[in-house]
Order: sequence, then structure tokens, then C-alpha cells
Amino acid sequence: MVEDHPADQIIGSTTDGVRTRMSFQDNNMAMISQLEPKSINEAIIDDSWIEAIKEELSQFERNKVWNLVPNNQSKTIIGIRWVFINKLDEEGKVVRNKARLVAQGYNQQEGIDYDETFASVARLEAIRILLAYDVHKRIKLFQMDVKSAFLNGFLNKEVYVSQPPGFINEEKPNHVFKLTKALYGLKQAPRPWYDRLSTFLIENGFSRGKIDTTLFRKTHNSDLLIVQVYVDDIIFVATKIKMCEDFSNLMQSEFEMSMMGELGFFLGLQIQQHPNGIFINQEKYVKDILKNTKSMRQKS
Amino acid sequence: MITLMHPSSSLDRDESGKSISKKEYRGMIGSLLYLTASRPDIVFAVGLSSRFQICAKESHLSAVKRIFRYLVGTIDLGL
Repeated sequence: MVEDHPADQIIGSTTDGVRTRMSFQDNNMAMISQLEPKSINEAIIDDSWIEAIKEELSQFERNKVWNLVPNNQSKTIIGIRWVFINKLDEEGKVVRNKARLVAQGYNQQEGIDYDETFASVARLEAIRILLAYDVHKRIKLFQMDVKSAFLNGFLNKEVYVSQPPGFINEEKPNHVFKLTKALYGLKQAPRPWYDRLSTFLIENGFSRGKIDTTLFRKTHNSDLLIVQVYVDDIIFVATKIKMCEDFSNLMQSEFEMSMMGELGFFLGLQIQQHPNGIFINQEKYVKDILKNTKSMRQKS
Repeated sequence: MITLMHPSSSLDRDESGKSISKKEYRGMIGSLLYLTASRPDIVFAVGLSSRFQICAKESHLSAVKRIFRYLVGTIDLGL
């Protein structure tokens, strides 16, 4: 380590030894690929990416997203493509390979393929007020997120997409998929999801906030359960721990959920909950923007 | 540790200065703006720099870079 390169700026452990591309291909990291393929042809030769693709397709299966229909010439067909992302942990190590099938929504025409696209999201101030309230009440916050959230929303317009690259049905190569649920990348994708979630919560006895429409409340005797929704991230808090458990069971019965637990990291805010209060900091975010702007700042 | 802003010289429109890429300047301002959620100490400096987006010159860019250098020095204060 030299003077200009302090140890705290080295990513990963210095005892790891040299990492090369060849060692990535040996898959010493238990079936996790280190490289992000640019196209389906690159992905299909790697076992870990095939696994990720299977996982995404099974989500489509489970949510009954689409049906294969003959191509009707009068309809616009929206292209779809694969996107491959590596999920990193806090130290920047690859922990998961994720494949996502997305629609090329920029080909959609307003009025024909979509009409309403608006979906409200929580404001940062609202989240801070919620945090302040919980400190006052001395209660603990929890969070969870919905797997492939947008695939849960029902579409109200007829939308057709092409078959996914690399997965063309050999017997019906000219068929297209008619969507019943929303797809990532569609212009209107967030709205059906918000509709579905809010209807579900209201059916289960929640009342929606009049000003902040992403805040849901439920009272039971003198106990209160508050749910704040940020697209597919949900944070919730209750005056009784039992209500939190009931809520998480309720959500699991309707949607496929992941990552439940105490609130720790939300929208780039690192949140530490202590008995006497809550600390918020954005150290990780600072490091990210410093990294992103480094090249710009070094130019002059 | 470096301070957020130069203590004596003040920013102005700097019409004779060399223009810089507005896109990069705005990107930097934008990412700093989100950071104000947990760092009220940088609000004034960021707000001031953001007023010069329309006529961004090198002098303004160096003011923004100064904010970044301040962040490097204060990253572990837990703010």
C-alpha cells in the first residue's frame, strides 16, 4: 500500500489475492457470475445466469402474466428484452445475479397502449415524520419488499409484446404474448400495482391517508398500525408487535414478499434504531456520489 | 479538513469565465441535493451553487468540487 492509496480506499480485502477474469469463470463464488452479460447470447452460456433467467420466468408463470396468441396485424407489438444486473452487498461484492424481462415502453403510444400512468409515491418528508413519530412512541419499524411488484398489477388496456429473445416458441414463432399483468418498462406499469395494493389494503380494513395517499392506517381497539408504501418497498410500524406479525402474514398470503425485518436501509438512508432514538445517515450514498463524480472532478 | 466554501470570495455570475458542461454540473448538484436529507450542513453551499446552473462556469464548478472535498473529510462524522 502506497501513500496515495490508503487502505480504506481499497475495495474488498487485501488478502484476497489477485482476481482475474479466468477465476470468475471457474465459479469459485458458488454459482455467482461476476460479469454482467450484455445480451441473452452471452448469458445463456453461464449456469448462474441461466438460473437467474429461470427464476424470472417462473415469476411470470406464477403471476400468470401473459398468454400466447396469434399475431393480429392491427395491434402494435412492443419489443421486450432481457436486462442482467449483479446485486452487490455493502462491500461491493456480487451476491446475486438477477435477470429481468422488460418491455421497451418507449414504443408505446398514448391513448392506444396506455392512458393513465400516474402513481403516487411517498415523499421523503412523510417518511421522516413517520420516523419522528416512532421515536416519540418508542416503537420499532419494520420493512419488507414485494418480489417483482409490477407483475402483480392488472392491465386495463390490451397490450401485446413479442416473445422474449432466446425463448421463442419453436412451433409458434409468429405468435405474440397478450399481457394480463403489467411488465417492467411499460409506461403504465406502476399504476396497476399501486391500485392493486391499495385495494387489497382497503379491503382488509385499512384507511388511506387523505393527503399522503401512500400512507395506510389500521386501528384495533387502542392500537395503531401504520403502513408507508414506496412503490415495492413497504415500511410498517405498530404499537403492538402482534399487529406487525399479522400484517406481514397478511401480505405474504397475497403477494410474494422478500427481505423482511427491522428497518435498516431505505432509499439510500442508513437507519439505526436504538432504544432512545433513531439515527439516520447516508455514508454509503456519499461514497457512491464521490465515486461517480471522481472522474469529473479529476479533469481539472 | 477543508471548509465548505471559500471564506472570503463570493460567487457571482462570472460572465468572463470559461463555460463548463451543464449536464455534469447539474448531475453533481442533484446528487448533493438528495444528500441534504441527512446533511443539513451542506444545504447553504449546495443551494448557492445551484443558482448558477444556467450560467455554469469554471469558478462555480470549483465551488462544487470544494463541497465534495468537504464531504471526503467529514464522511465518518456520522452526520
